[in-house]
Amino acid sequence: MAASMFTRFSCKCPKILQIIASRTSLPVQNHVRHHARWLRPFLNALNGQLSYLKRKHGEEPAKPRSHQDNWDYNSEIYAFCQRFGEEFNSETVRTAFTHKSYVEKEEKSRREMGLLDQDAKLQLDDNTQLVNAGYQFSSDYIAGYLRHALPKVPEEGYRAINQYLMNGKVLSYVASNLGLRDLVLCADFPIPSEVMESTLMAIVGGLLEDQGMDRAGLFVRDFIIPQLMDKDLCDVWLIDNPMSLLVQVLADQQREEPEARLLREAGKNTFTPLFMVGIYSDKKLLGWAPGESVTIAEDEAARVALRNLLGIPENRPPLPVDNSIRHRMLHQSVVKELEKGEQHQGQIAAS
Amino acid sequence: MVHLSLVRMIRSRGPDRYWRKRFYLDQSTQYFGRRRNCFSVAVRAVRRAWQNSTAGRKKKKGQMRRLWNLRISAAVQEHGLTYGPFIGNLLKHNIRLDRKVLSHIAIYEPKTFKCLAELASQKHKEGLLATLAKNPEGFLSGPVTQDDLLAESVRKLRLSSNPSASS
Amino acid sequence: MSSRITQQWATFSRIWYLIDAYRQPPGRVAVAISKVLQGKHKPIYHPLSDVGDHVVVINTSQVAYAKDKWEEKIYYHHTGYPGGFSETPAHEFHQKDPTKVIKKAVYGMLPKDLRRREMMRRLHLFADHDVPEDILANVSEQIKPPRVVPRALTEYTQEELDNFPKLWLPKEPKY
Repeated sequence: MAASMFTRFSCKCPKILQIIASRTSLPVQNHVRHHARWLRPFLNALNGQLSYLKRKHGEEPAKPRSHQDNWDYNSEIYAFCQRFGEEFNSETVRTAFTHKSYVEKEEKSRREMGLLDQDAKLQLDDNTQLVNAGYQFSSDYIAGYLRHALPKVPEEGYRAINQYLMNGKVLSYVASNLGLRDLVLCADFPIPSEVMESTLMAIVGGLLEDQGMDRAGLFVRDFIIPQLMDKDLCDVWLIDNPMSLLVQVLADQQREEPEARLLREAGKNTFTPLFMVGIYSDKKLLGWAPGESVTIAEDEAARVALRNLLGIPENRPPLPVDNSIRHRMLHQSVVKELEKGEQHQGQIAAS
Repeated sequence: MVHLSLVRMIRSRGPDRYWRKRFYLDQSTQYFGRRRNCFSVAVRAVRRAWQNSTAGRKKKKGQMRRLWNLRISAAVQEHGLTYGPFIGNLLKHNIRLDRKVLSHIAIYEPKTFKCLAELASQKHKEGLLATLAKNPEGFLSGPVTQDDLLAESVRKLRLSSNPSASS
Repeated sequence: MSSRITQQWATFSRIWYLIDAYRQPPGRVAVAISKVLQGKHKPIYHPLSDVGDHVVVINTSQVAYAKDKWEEKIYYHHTGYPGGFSETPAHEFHQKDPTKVIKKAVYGMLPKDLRRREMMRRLHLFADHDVPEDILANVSEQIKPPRVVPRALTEYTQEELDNFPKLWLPKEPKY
């Protein structure tokens, strides 16, 4: 009855017509001579129905992209390779995207369908090997790169920064923003972040296998290291006791012990006092910082002095990640060192 | 000629009255007292609010500019200069930063701002006043700018118009 | 620079200023003070954010009105009741409370809204240079007095008076 009453929906506003056409299968008409008075109550009722259904049945579960329309895995893989301008071997890329759990799941489902064990075995390699190679290479490259880019930072600083870059959060963030999410073959959905992380590493490993260290290193330099760009290095590398480290650094440079001095103070007897403390060595100001008490200010000043000594002050130039000749040479020297190290290890293994 | 639509318009007076009222009352939800729920009061309040917001959009531009000027002048005074010479002399250096950017630099990049103030004060010193005061001989020291030439010509004019000064 | 937290602390900390009102015109002193109380001397100024500083004023009993303003300037007041109107010449007003002239001048120059009370609470007025130790310890900056402190003729030494360049010498009076 109701359907026969509204034979055709008519309204002046094309947008509303579009909404109705998309939500119902009823015919619409956009040429009318009056304003539709029934429209707002109708839309209200429609929205009410929709929200009621949503409340009752919950949101529609997310579907992987491969289960939706217009999906062609081969062309997506091809497009992926083209996007980065790298010449991947297409077999390697496919292997890199295949997670171990996917292979296991497929084989299991085959067995359940009644295939014998030999037939159920898939001709698919998973990416475990590539992941391991990728992890190894990336952390080596980052360590070497930091050593060249920030030459004065001590070893624990390198380690902290390396750990930050190689942790799951950063890597899975990079991976999902490079568009790997739809391409990964994995048993679970939504794809867990560990899988995203390992897939990115597998891509690096694949690049290493296909194109060698130079291109793989550039990949790491272009996509993983820039995650440090908007970061304060001291937020990444948390120095617990800056004063003791400062003493150590100054002793290494054979300079006098640091000496803290109160430079300025304001509102000493108020609830919000301000103290400015400077750190001196050899009667030279290494750094100064404000703080709400003398101890905090001293701690901060030591941190600032340390940053100045280690060449990572707040106004440091950005990390050398562009393609200027100097920075290309920096990249190449890192790669050369890595190659040398590999040869050396090979010799040890051979002997 | 048949005016069908006119006949229909007399019979049906526009869209539904309820929704027309709802439109105004929706906008007066956060008002106080009868201005919120009583239509005849609410509609006046809402229309006045629209007028105010239209006027406010124009006013805001001036207010923001005044705030930026105040901030710039406060920052410039820290470096021993005043607002007018600072802005004017930056223009002479062809530094076309607007007030908004300058005030942001003053807050977030104080060292950059100090350099700008330094540039402006240098230009300020080498302007018209300096040339007149320092070099009565017509000798131009430092880089010759348009301002220096202007100052020189002004000085000559003065000398020629005032014979007692030259003798 | 240091960490963001301490930077924030330093940016929004309140500084204590000292100004000496000795032989200064109250109006010009009040201009300088009100600017600091409002925070208009900072590039982070915004009318809605409370960034004003403290000001300690000393020697307010020594302020100097120009010409015969002590006689001519009149402070009016009305209690709001019938017959509650009163007018006080400046010199009487000053005698009653030597900090009041500056206080009233500053109060009139601040924005007329709820912020004014808070700003006035950051103004510390002292009739002479006896300031409590705990307040003096807070002070870390000084506002330059608007006028070069003038000297009376009696305060020049005889040597200075003799060496002062003279265009003409006053004649001895005939009688």
